[in-house]
Amino acid sequence: MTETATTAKVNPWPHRLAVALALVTLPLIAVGGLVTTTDAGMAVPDWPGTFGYNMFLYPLSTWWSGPWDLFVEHGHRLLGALAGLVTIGLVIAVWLGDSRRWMRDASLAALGLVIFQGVLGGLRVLFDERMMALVHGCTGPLFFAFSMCLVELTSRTWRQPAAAQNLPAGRRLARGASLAACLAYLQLTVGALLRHIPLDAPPQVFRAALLFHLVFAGVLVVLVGMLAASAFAGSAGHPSLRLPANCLALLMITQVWLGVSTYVMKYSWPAWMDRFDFAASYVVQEKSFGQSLTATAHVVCGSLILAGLTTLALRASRLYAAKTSSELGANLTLMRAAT
Amino acid sequence: MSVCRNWRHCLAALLAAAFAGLAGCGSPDAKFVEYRTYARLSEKAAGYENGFTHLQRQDVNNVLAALYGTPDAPSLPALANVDVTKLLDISKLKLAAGSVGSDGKGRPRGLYREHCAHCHGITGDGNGPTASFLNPYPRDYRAGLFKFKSTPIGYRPLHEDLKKIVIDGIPGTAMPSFRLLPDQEIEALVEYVKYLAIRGETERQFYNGLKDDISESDFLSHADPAVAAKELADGNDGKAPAQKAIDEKVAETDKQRLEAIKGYTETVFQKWLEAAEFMTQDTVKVTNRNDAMRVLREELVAAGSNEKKLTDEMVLAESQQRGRKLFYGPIGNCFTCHGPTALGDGQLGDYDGWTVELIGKTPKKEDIKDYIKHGMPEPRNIRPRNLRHGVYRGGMRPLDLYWRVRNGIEGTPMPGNDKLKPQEIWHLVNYVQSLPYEQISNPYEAVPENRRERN
Repeated sequence: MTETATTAKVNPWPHRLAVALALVTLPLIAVGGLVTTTDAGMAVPDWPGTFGYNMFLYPLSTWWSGPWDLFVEHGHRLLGALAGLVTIGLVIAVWLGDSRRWMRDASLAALGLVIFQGVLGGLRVLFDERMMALVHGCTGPLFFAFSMCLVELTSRTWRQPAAAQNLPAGRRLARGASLAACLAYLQLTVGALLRHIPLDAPPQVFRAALLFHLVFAGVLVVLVGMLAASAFAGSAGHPSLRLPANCLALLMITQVWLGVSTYVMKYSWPAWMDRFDFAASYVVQEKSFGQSLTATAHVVCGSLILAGLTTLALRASRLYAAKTSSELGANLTLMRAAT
Repeated sequence: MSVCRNWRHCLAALLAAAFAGLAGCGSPDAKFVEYRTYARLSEKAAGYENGFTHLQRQDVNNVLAALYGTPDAPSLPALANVDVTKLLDISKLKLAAGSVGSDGKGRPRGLYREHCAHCHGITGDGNGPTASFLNPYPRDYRAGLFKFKSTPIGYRPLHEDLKKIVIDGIPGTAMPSFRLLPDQEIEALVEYVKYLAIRGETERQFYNGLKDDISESDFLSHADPAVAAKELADGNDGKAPAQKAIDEKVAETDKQRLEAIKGYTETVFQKWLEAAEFMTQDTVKVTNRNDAMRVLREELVAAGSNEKKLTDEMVLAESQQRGRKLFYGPIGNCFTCHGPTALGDGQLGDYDGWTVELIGKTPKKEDIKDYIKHGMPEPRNIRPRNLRHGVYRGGMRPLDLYWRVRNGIEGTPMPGNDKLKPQEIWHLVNYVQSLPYEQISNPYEAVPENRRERN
């Protein structure tokens, strides 16, 4: 792929389907979060069928008007299947409409990941195993972040020559965003552990995970704040980085608020706060709408932050770390070969 | 091209390995955990240097499993002298037991693991995965002791007492309100909590049996032939007994021990049944607050107050004044713990009953270390309630406060008070309920006011 080639007409379908995939995956994660929050994971005891039916032929009226946990779990399965179908469409579109070899590999990787995720979800049901639900819960955001990468990589902007600058601050921004994305994912896995903690785990495990989650939240707030400031106004600032930077700053504030709310709505205010009337009189309402919504929103917001950081890292890399997007593609291929 | 092919092969191999690894997984059956802290306490009391043997503890677990089943399949013991169905409903237990899920019609199962086990643990030992950072710690049911109940200290709670806490939750703690669950599910949870408490109490009884009646190498459910042979030989001038005599001795001992097991179990059930019977007695029935106020009004009129000018507010004020005297007086003696300003800062160095049972009121470091090793949570001092918030963990109704004053709070330094007459208890309740409305309770003024009052 040369720069001349990129100016030729680009098939829009890979990008459209990548966007569709991201748009399907986000609600899929939200409903998946709701499955965990409402303990609906075992509402349907079989897989890949639903109570003996083919998943797609399960009576719509029974699903729609059935119990809430069945509604959520079967809905999650249908959305998952839709994500799988869109991914297949994306692979076909990329193989027919995109000549970049690494892009084809990336689309295949997406397909592998979505299949892996689907099978994980199925095994979680068949084995009734919380640890598998944990892995399933960690793979979802990873897939969403990957789908956002595909959106970026298939975009028209990405395929145009970048006015790359050899700017140390820009390279630091790219490296910082990549590091923050790794930390955000680590943070997300610890969050998943807190939500899927095995019932026979010693209390020290949960305690350690919670402390880790809190410390990493602090680290991420500082790191994302610095990245957003740098992307927005620093010497590495660039118009294409402003949207992800703005979104990340907003998402981080929302996420901290959601995290505190999730904790309080599940475990009440910390004991040292009982000098205040509002804390001393607060009663946790188990399975309330607010409790479910807050915990699920915290999960979704975490996935969005991961996706935002990945996007920022990709854009910053394109601008500052490589001379051209095709060179970045080549670098990616070489990195994969090395691993 | 070859790089690309290798990469795909690597991915395929990784996926295959992941699936193979996961296929080997499976949810292991949930298990009740041993009551290690109480076993340790019994060992120490019995003076067993090496503690109970692994086989002895296994023996206790086997007997418990035979009586009470497993977390996935609970059962109830068949006892000759006690009707266990009066206390526990096996159909409700089955709704609460097992792993979380539901059938196609939305009928749930595994309610306890869905709602309670994260904090209270599968065994009800108060040691679930989230337990260590919660303050106060989740309740350990196994001693059969519950704080907030209508029965006096020493008595087990009523079904309604437990249900009230499950429905209302406990303000300012991680114990949630399950008000949004259907009544059938709340009933199932309460039954399961009782089941775990009774099972735990039975386990305690068994360790008491091991401690008191059985030698260091002997078992709860069956006799050791070697011990039987030694006993026979000791009773026969050291001559080795015949095998038949040993077998008969073993069979006889086994029979006695099975009877003992039933006896221990019946004792536990009887304690729970006694509580319900005790609460039907006239002497423990609660006097109505309105009646108490009427009696006070009559007293005031008899003492010369103008009946027509005596408003309800004036009667209430008098009641609160009398309650205040009791609060600071030698009979009520509430200020010792709750503090002269009722901010809950009187006595801060106590531990709760679950902790004191193991390590005593003035614990030694080595005891704390030893019991923590056996599963006791890090000891924390128990704090008397700050009565100026107007938030009472056992319930906000005046009746709840009446019970707290009359019955005390099980497992805490808050004692029951049988010296107070019902009318006096209501005076105290009225005074306690007035505390949040005193000027001193205003947070902007509390600190200097309190400081002055303390000084």
